[in-house]
Amino acid sequence: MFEFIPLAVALVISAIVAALIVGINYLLIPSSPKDDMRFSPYECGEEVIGEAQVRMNVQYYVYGIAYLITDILAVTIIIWAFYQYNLSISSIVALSFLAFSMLFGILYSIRKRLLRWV
Amino acid sequence: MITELYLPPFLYDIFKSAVATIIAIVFTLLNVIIFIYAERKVWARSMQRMGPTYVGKWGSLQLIADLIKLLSKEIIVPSKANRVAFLLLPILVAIVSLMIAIILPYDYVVFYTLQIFQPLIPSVSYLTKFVVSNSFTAGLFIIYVVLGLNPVLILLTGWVSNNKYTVVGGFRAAAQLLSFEIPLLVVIASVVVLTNSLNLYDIVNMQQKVWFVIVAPLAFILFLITTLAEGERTPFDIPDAESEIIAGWNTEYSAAPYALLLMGMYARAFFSATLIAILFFGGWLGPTLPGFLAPFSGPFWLMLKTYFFMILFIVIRAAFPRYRIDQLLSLNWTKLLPLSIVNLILVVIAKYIVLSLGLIS
Repeated sequence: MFEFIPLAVALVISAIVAALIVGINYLLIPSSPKDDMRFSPYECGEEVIGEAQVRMNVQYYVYGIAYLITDILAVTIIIWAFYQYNLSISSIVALSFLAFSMLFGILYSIRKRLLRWV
Repeated sequence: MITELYLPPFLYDIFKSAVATIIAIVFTLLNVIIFIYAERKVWARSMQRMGPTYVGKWGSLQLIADLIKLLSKEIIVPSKANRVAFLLLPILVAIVSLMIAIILPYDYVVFYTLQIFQPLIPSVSYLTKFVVSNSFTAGLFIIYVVLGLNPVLILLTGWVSNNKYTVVGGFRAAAQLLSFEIPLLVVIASVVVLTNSLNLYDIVNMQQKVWFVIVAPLAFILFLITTLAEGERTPFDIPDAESEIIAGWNTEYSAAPYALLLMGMYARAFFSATLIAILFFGGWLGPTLPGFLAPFSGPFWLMLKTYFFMILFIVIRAAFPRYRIDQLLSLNWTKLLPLSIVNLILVVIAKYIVLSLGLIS
């Protein structure tokens, strides 16, 4: 259990370091005029046209779903590699069932050309 | 003085971790500065420019000057952006990047380098008890669990900035980072097949007789490619392709939040260089240095290998053109993913050969 103490400490200390950097910045900021034009979204100096938070290409979400499938597969393989000598028969069967169903999902999506950018 | 210190065990653990963390983070920040300086110099040389020359000898203080400049600029929050999230997300990115420094053996590097002074100050040997990075039984796994938060943070950063370039850059970054995580994890699984351990110290000590780059060369090549992509470095830097979408998901940032994002990116690249040295090139293993430098040999070999891969990253950045997003994703899903599974099978075969030769125990 010891390893979680350093992680928690590292989390707190890195948060302090990051906050400190922003804090120093707040101390050093020069006073500047409040001019609305400076706070408009950057668009190469042109007038901003339309909304930025628009509906994106559906292709990104397909990769998100493919990631969900394969990530579980990859973690399964890591568990498998870690416990290679001391796995019971039932866990081997369960892990291979999981792995093969994930592989089937990936092969299906490759076959249906879902992973091809359109 | 330190040896007299008495604390209850729990508080002693916290004190020990705090010392090691501060050392590791300071060491990381110093190396980020070295990395950016080396990148500007090498990159400039490859284009027959000089790079920074004006501030300090050979421009060595240029990065300090840049840091002071960034920290004294105004923080501009765009009027359309979500103010709280816009300021909070760079801090989260920095936390995710910096807290990994404790798992990598940077406290080992610093504390064992200080052992050079042992003949002069005997109590310095007490510092070796402060190394905590050897206590992580699942270190390699924790690194990628923490880094797995990155795509979400980057996507959110792009989205809350509410700018066309940041939104496109954020989506590209999320798609790229999510996709390349899969071959990366499978390659790591193949290293775990060889070592049966996720502790970085165990992984290095398994390589006493043969480095894993010889046992599993394909794994090394795949790991190099996927870590370049995970670090958003050229040739996979489409999330912040400056000639297409200004600066990608961090277009709207300025001053300290920008410094945090930049630091996070370079810290991750530096960690990748260290990880390649540890996983495939035997970490701190190497001939012992002569004379009073003997305690320094472990840190010396580790940092030598790390800086070699750091320079390699920079040369790759200078030498290769950028991929297009469709080429990038099809490279990942149709080539790297099947290759990583082929690599896993090859490593299982290689493990039995190496075991029968008695090269790993």
